[in-house]
Amino acid sequence: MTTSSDPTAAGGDADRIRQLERELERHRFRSSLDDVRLQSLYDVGLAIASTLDREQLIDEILLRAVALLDARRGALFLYDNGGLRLAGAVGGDAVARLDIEPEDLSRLTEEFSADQLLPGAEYALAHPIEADVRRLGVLVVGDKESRSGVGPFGDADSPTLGLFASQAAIALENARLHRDALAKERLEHEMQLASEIQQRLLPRSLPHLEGYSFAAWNRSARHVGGDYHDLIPLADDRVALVLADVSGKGVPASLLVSTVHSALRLLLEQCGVAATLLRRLNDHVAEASTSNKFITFFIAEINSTGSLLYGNAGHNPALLVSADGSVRELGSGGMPLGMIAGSPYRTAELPMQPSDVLCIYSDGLTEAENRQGEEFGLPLLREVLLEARNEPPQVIVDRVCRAVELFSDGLPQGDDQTLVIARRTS
Amino acid sequence: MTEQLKVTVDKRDGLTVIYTDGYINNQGGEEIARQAAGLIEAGETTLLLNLAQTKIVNSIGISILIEVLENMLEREGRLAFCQLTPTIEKTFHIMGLAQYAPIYADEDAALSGLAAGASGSEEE
Repeated sequence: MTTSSDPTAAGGDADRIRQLERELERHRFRSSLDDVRLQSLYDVGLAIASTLDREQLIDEILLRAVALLDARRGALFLYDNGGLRLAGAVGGDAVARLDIEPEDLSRLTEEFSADQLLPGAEYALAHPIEADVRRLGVLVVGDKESRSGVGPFGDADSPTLGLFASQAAIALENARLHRDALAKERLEHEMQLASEIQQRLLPRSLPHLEGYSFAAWNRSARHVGGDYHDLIPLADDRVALVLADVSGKGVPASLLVSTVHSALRLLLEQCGVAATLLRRLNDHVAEASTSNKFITFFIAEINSTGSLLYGNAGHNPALLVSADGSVRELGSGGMPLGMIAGSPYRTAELPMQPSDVLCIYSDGLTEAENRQGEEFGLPLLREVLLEARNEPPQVIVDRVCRAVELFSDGLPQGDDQTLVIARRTS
Repeated sequence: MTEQLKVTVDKRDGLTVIYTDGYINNQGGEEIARQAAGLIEAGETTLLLNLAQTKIVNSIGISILIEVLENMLEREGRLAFCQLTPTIEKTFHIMGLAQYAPIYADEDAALSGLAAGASGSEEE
């Protein structure tokens, strides 16, 4: 066996061993970094599944992209109201918005310098964020670090950034869908609540007045409607019949209906059916509603002596159908409620003879359309009422509803429909 | 402009704690290394790095932290970490830092653990 006693050779072996150890250490470091990269991509996928908060997701994606690419900084831009706006930045400032079309995003770093995207940066790498075929925005990282400073990103960095951009797209779309679903659920809950409130405002029973019979019917076009009706017993053998149509639909209209209901009951006790009631109700609605809300309103008071006193604030004319076949229109005596505070109103009085029928309706009935786009209209309503004038009020309601249904031929109801019928029987 | 890492040093119950605020990258890592070197020269044998205000560490920063760790180990000192984000803690485990430097949930846990001479990750 030969041994070497040369110390130089032994020292050279030691150096070689140390060099190998350092190379091994570097190899282990790089290999571990690859593990970190894979783990990060996996973790971003898990984060997508566990959080639907858009801001948190943007933060997560940016932090991981910047760290994994050894970038000094990064930013995420998203299209919002037509413009590409900054949604998040890490490691430094970023420009607030960019004027670039989605189809040009792949050339972002050709159109803008690194400094223009990330003020102070020398190098930038960008990748569009795409969901299906839509470009949602762009992910940008700046200044790749090494121990000696910053430099350009390498060929391998673009695919890595692309992977993060893909994850960002999925995350953002999920967050958007979740947000939309929550908003829809909230709206449905509010609509349900408003519907329940409104149902409680509707008359639960018909009043009793000697010599008269009544019927009422209502169907909302949506969950919550803008039509309101009531039949209110008053002192001294009187009944007030009310129909109001609030502009707009849904929850805001329903809330205004509730306001009218409360105010009306109070004012009826104070001043009865009179021009004063309409004036005060008008002022109340003008104060309570937003500028684009108003209410067409019809109120009639009938009593056991056969007197009919009415007020009409911009509503379609009620119809008084007599046994002899004549039809009288009870037209408007003032503007819809809520349009202009302080507006004047007038009421009118006329006799209601035995067998006369009073029909108060909302324009959802007369404006119901057929498949040719024609409206049911007042002439057709008059015709149905004339044919049914000798029938009990409920039958009259049924005949009108049936006629409108046949006319509409299955088309969806476009507006709330309400009908109040009073017939003097003796 | 680029945000620089802020590094502050404090003492807590006899333990020297280095607090980082910001991104541990090349610049940030160098600052930590500089502060740690000064403390080691001054005779400190145990250092705790509190990363509560740090959300990112890149590979350059990790390589510098490894050097700081090696520096401590060569002098038979100890380096520990606390208040890491889950992401950073996972990275430290993958990169092997956790094998030589214990990771604690917070400073209280670090104080108890280091006093007891514990090693490895500990959760409160």
